[in-house]
Order: sequence, then C-alpha cells, then structure tokens
Amino acid sequence: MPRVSAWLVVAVAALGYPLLVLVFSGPPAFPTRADCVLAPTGEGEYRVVFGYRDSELEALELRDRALAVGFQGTEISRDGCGRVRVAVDDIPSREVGEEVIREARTVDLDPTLEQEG
Amino acid sequence: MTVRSLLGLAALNLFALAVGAGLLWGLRGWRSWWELARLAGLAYMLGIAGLGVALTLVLVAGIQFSLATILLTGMALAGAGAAVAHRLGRPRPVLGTGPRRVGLAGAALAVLVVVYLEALFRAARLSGLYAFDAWSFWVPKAKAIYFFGGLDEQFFSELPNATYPPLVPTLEASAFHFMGSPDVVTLHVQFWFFLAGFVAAVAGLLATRVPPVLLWTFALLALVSPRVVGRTLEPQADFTLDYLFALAALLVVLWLLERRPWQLAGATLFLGAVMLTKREGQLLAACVVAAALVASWRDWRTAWPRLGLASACALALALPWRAWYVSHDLTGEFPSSGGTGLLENLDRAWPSFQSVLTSAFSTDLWTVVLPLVIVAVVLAFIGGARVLPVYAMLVYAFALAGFTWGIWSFVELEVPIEQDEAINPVVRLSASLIVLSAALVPLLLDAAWRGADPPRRPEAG
Repeated sequence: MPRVSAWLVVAVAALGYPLLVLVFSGPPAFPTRADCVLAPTGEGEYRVVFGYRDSELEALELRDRALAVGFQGTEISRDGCGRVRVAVDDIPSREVGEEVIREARTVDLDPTLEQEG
Repeated sequence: MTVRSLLGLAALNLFALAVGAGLLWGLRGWRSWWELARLAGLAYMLGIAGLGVALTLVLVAGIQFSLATILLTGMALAGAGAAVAHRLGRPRPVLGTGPRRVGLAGAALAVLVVVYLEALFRAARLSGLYAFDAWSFWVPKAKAIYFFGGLDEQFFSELPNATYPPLVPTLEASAFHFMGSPDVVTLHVQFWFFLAGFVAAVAGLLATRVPPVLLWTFALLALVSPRVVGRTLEPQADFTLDYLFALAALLVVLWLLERRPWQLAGATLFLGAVMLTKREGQLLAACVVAAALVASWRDWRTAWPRLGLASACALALALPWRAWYVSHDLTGEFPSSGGTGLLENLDRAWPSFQSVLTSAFSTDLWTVVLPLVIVAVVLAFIGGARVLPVYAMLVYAFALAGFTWGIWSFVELEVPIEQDEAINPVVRLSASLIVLSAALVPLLLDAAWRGADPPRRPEAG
C-alpha cells in the first residue's frame, strides 16, 4: 500500500468522525455562565438577585449594601458557574419579587427576578 | 465560558509541548522534523513531567504561584534543554523523508484509536466533577494553589491525604490559570490531553521498533478496558501516575536494550514525576529500578552505577516535597502497620494477595490484558529473548508484591477483604500494570517473533 494512502485513511477517519457528529447531532453546545441563570417559569419559589460577582469579597460588598438599605435575608452563594450570587431566596410569588425589585430600584440597586434551582 | 476555557487549555498544552520539545532537544535532539513529529507525544509528556516537577519545587520553595511563574518556569526548562543541546553541538534537523510506512491493518487500528480519543474528548469537555477523591481533595488542593498562590499549610492539613504530593494539583492549578477561572468542568479535558499524550508517546517510541499492528492492537486493548473508559478523565492523580510510570518503565527497558543515555535521562525525569504524583509512585519507581538492576546483572559494572545515579537524581527531585510536609508536621505517608506490624497481621497476607490478583485479573475492569501479558512474557522467553522478558516479569511481580504489602498493611481494611473501590485502593493500584502493558507487550511479542531481545540498532528514536 503506498506510504501516503494509509496515512490518508487515518486522516479521513479523524476528520470524518467529528463531521458525522456535526451532521447527526448538530453543532456542539458551549455552555456559558448565562446557563446558570434560571428565568422565572412560574413553578416553585423565586429569588431576587442583586448581582453576580467574580469573587466572594466583591459579593460581600454588594451584600452589605443591600443589607444596609433594609433587604434582610440577602446572602451570597456560588452559582455553579464560577461566580458568586448576591440574592434574597425563598420569594413566594412573582408579585412579591417584583415588588422587592421596585423597592430596590429606588435605592440605586438593580436586581432581577430568577427561578430558584 | 467553556470556549475560553478550551482555548486556554489548548494554549497550556501547546506550551507544555514546547517545553518538552526543548527538553527533548537537550536530551537527544532529532535528525529530521518528521522525527520530531513522531516523538511529539514523548516531547509533550516530558514537558508535563518537567513542568509538574519544576512547579512543585517552586511551590515548596515558597515562590508565588502565578501565570508568570508557570511561563517563566517552562521557559527556563526549555532554555536549559536548548543550552545542553548547544553545548553538545547537536546538528540542525533536516526536513526528512516523510512519515513511516503504515500498512492497512495498522492504519485501521490507528483509526480506531483516533476515533476513540475523539469520542472521549466529547465526553471530557462537559464532564461534571463527580469523582469522590477529585472533589474531596485533588481539586480543592488545586483551587487552593490557584487562589492562594502557594501551599497553604492549614488548608492542606485539613484535607484528606495531606501528604499526597502536589504534582497533579499543581498542573490543575496551571490549567485554571490558563483557563482564566477554576473551571472544574473543562478541567476534565486536561486529563484527556494526558491520555492522548501518553498514547502518542508510546506510539512514537515504539513505531520504529515494533510492527504497527502489534503497537495499535495493545494500545486499543488497554484503552477499551472498562475502567479506562469510565475513569481516565477524572481530575485525579491515578491515571496520570500510571502514564508517567509506564513511560519511565518503557524508557528504562529501551535503555537496557539499546544503552542510549537519553533514554535513562528521560526515565529519570519520569521517575521523579512518578514519585511526586502519588505516594505509591515511590513503590512503582522502586519496582522499575529493582527490575532493571536484576535484568542487567550480567553487565552490572556499567549498568548499575548508571541506574544508581538515575535513581538518586529521581529521589533528589522528590525529597523537597517530603522535607516540606515533614517540616509542617503533616503525617500519614506510610501505613501504620507497614513495617513490623505485618508480622502481627500474618492472617492478612494471603487475603491481601488474593485481593490484588482478583483486581488485576478482573475482566470487568481490564478485560484480558494481564493474561495476555503473561502469554507475551512466556512467548518472549520461548523465542529466546532474555533481558526484556526478565525485566517485564520482574516489574509486574515486584508491583504485585508491593500492592500486596500495601493492602496487607492497610489494617483498617478488615478481613475478609472487600473489593469495593470505596474502601479498597487495589483497583487504582492495579491500573498501573494495565497501562504499562500498552507499552511493554508490543515489545515482548516482537521479541518473541524475532527470536531474541530487540537488537541494539543505530539511533531509531
């Protein structure tokens, strides 16, 4: 067998497998940090998230700001995507959550409503 | 997130390849660029071993661990290799005549290995951190090195297995730096690189010595072992230890057969890395050296001093870590009943040996690898080879004896000894012999076919 032919067989297989995967399974998924943010779905409890930070130190500063203006129960926790979440958990309904958000915006905080995981 | 992490890991591993190429240039050089392409896997593993050892020494010395530290250390290693090569007057490589001829059968087997690795990559890049030891202490140690920039005595002492050497956590912390975050999901891809690098290193070393069919058959047989398929990507030190051990053992036997100085020098680096990867690395390194001493007894005047020097150098690489944890009052390196305590537990001897054999010959874990090793050793003897099968037989025998001692002295594991991996480390121990088989068995079978030990030949790489 000519020297090049065998190597071509290997090269074709090496390229062919990922091409077949693309054809039959579609493009690969590349998760981002946004995948750890759960949009409100209407089931279960919610959380009001004051923000995400890359370090616990920065998250503690935001938490202290929220506590200082009266948002009791604000805690930090890891979000599973390498960031630290600053939030109030166990919000019972969407209406309560939106009310909390309205109040927060009056004191220069900009939280969002998320579903609890 | 993961795209950036993947690109960062690619950069780290290309860097490791460049460092290893510098080391390889110093150790042996290469006559053509095609030869370097063939030995790229070996260069990569030399880079990983070199970086792992050097960065461990950096940590022990108390130097701040950062991206700059990693880059400077790697550049220093590559520079040292280049300096040695310059001093030895290595000639410039030429382009060369292209890759070696590979028959259809060899190509078909190589295709299976390549597709296997590609499929494993898909599993690696989105693997969660599920392995107990990985999230219990290996990855936390890596995160501590990453976040604190060094060996935090308090944190390390509070984690399980405080005296485990930090080579793998150091490499994991390096991966975190290159990825830009402690991405424990994409971290699994680093262990895919280790596996692919090991396969490429063995293939590169054996390509000029054994037929492609033998080489790829046993590589594939080891790779498709259920245990390898299921666990090789875990961010732990087990399989990394096995790759480094197998490469050290392979280079030592090649040195016994061909007496090229670079082979023993390369083995020395791998032996040092083995001892800095896990505690049992010391046992495995001792098995390799002891087997080599016995196999070379006919020319002990020339071989033994060189083996002694290599062992001393490897030990010298491992001692600083030992000094660090002894000085920081970390204990638990050796089993409490590993010495005279064995005599008080004689009833454990046979069950321990049975446990080791049961694991090593388990078809559920390793299919038929070890039975084929025995057949290969016997055939090599029948074929007329001596040094190679004696060495191989002794490495396996010493390792099995060493594992038996380990289980025997692990008195917390009560008789009757369960094979449950959660409490019995024997499965992890036996993996090293399976990985080793991918490297040694092709040589044994080729020797059996030739009817003699592989000949000492002009530099075949």
